[in-house]
Amino acid sequence: MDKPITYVYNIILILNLVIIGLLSLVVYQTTYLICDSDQARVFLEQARYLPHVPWHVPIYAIGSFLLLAVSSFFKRYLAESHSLLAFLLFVLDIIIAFFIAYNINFSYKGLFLFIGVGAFFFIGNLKLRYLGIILAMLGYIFSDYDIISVQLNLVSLQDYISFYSPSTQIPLYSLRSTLESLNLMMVILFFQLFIQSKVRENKEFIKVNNELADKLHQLEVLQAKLEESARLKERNRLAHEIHDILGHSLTSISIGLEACLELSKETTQELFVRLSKIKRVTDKGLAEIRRSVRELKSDAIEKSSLLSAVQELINDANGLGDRLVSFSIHGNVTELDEDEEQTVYRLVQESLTNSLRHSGGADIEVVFSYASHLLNVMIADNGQGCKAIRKHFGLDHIEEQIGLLGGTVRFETAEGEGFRTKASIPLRKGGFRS
Amino acid sequence: MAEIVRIRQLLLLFVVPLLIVVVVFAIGVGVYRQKTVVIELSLYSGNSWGVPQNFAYAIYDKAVELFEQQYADKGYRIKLRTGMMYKDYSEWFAQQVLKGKEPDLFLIIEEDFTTFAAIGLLEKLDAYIEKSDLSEHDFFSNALEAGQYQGSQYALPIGIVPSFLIYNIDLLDSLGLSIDLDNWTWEQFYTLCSQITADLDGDGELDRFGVEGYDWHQAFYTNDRALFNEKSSQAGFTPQHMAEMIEFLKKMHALNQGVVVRDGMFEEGIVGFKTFNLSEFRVYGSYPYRILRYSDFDWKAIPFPHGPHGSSKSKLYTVQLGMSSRSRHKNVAFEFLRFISSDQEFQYQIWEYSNMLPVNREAFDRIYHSGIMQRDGMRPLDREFIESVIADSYIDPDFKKYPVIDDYITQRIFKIIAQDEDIPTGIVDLRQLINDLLLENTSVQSVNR
Repeated sequence: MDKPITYVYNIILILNLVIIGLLSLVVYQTTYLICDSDQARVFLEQARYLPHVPWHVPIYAIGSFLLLAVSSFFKRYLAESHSLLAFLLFVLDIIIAFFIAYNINFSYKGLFLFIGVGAFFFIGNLKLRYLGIILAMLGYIFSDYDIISVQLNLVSLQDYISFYSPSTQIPLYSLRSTLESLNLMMVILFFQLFIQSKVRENKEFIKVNNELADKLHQLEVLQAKLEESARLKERNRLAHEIHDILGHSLTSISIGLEACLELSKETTQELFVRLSKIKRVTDKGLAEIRRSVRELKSDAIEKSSLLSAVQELINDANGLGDRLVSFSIHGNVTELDEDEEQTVYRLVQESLTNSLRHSGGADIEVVFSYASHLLNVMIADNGQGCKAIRKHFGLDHIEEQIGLLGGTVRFETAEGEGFRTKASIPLRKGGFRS
Repeated sequence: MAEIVRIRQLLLLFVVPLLIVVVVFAIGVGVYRQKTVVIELSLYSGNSWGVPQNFAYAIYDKAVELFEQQYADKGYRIKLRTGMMYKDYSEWFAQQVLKGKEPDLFLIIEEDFTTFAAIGLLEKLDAYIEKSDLSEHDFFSNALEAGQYQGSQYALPIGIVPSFLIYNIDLLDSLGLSIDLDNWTWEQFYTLCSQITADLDGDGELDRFGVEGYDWHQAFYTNDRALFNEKSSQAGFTPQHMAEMIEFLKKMHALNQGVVVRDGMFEEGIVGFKTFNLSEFRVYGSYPYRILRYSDFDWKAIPFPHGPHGSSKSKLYTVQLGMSSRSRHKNVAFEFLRFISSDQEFQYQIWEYSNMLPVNREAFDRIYHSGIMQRDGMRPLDREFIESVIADSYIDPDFKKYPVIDDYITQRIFKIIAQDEDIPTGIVDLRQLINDLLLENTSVQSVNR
């Protein structure tokens, strides 16, 4: 609990001690004054009920109140760890409060406000706290002299005070109501501070929660990067291995074959023809392997920018036949993070491959549109299209990759309408200015 | 955690030893109390019937002596608190109550009874009586009723003092008058009084009178039942009976032509009748007082005459003992209450040590059989007569305001008679006056009697 709240609670405690002390001493002192002025018999007649034994009143009332103070001392330590125990002590408090109220003839209800404040202060468990508050409120309602005196035969404090002359009665009554009002104000102040501290707690909670969500997202991104980098590493390794072992072997075979060809040119025409065929196949395989290795290796992007890497892909595609692959860029070009570049590159690569394979020789259009923190990519062909999209591994993978970046991808096609891949990828860096 | 450990240590260090000390102390006190039970009993000297009593506490000393003897094995002790005069007792006792120092048992002044029962000072005795061997038939029922409030017993009587009328036999004989007790009405009473009343020396002023000490109280209760309703919250008399009574008193008043019959005129032999009570009878009816006061003529006790709607009722004085609801030894205190109100031996001693009659019927029988009444040469008192007087008696209202209201009623009735007011109007007025006084919340200053 905050310090100001503790201070206010302590002030309320002391204030209640003062009020109860005052009321009980009034009862005590007045009794003896009544006896000294030989008004005892008249008083008994007016009181209508048997009054308390005078010395019991301050001893029991103040003594019990000190018990309440001790109980609140213990409850401070029990509040968090032993909710139920604190609640039981609280119920005991209410019983003690009734005992005190009984001793001061139910002339003061504010004590139950003090008890109710304690419920907020000491009971951690929300359900028990509400129960405690309800009990304290019932105490507040029923500790009223007018209600209690229907059941319990009690002299009212008024009977005691009315013994005095008006010049004493007025200050007594005003002192009493001043103290009671002060108590009420302190209780209100307590709740004000209590609500404030709760609001502050809530705000902090929300802030921490948001930070946590951010961190979680960052972690997810990091995880994706890590996976990508592992995949790249593995690709590189594979590329190296293919290049080093298979490429080397094929190269050796190719050189060997060349030598064999030279030798066989003069001897056997038949052998030359066969070897030439093997040499063609070998060279073709070597070329295939080189291409494959180039594709596997991300170096293509790492070394150049995304745009030039894409351009290279397109150039390659253009070189393959008579179809036209166009590439256009809209908006201000923004630098992308590595994983973003990778994803975009793979998207273009996969889509181009698909179009090349399935479009049936149609033209292909690749469009990059840069916006603030956003890159829209469209790969469209005007080929034959298809009825329904069959998502094979490639499309799934692209979707997943783009999803990891928080982007979206959409495939549009219909019979004879061509095939369009539209992706939208949020960018971490940049905007128009960069 | 460190805090909790510290609290536990604190608990062990302080609370546990404290608990042990408290328990041991409590047991010690309990054992001590078990051993010596001391019951306090507060008394007043003097009485409500206004007849001086020598050695006022002697009867209580005797009770204590007999009780402690009877319970010697249990070690009960009774401590008497004495020294208060009857007139100061009410305030003194109220102060003890306010201070919480009232004794376990106490004598109750009539006007305090209702208040003390109502505020819960008096312990309700019904449950105790049920457990004990007390039977209401052992008591004179009127005396027992005087200790009841709202149907419950709150006090037990010790002794009673019935009241009645006495008349100067010699005077009536000399005038040739005789009393017909079979038809003992106001009418006959008035006729007798009018015949006695005379101006003997012819100086124009009366010097022989009908009755001394007779006022509206005696007349009222011989023609009606109660002044107030059961809760004493309103007037409860019957207007017609009240009118008859005032009519009768007016006639009686007219007889005396305005001369007031002073106290002591009956002794001089110039008054025919006088209101009397048993205590006076004891004192003046036996040696040596008989010689001093009523030596010149013979006299005799008779019931009060009754009106057209009543019987010969007379006031019964009782001495009531109650128990504080805050007493620590209620069972023992009740033992003493039971003892003092019903123990045969002690009740028999009441006649010896006081001017009262025992409240216990058997003790009353024993006194008559033993002949101790005649021992001191006391004037004979017919047993049937005294029993019928007790049985046909009334108890004064016993609430705080009654003495004051009683004064008001006396004044109002006197005004109706003296100023010759219209009686029905006067009665409506009187009823209103009583209701107003009963309703008034402000305290009416108590009047010492």
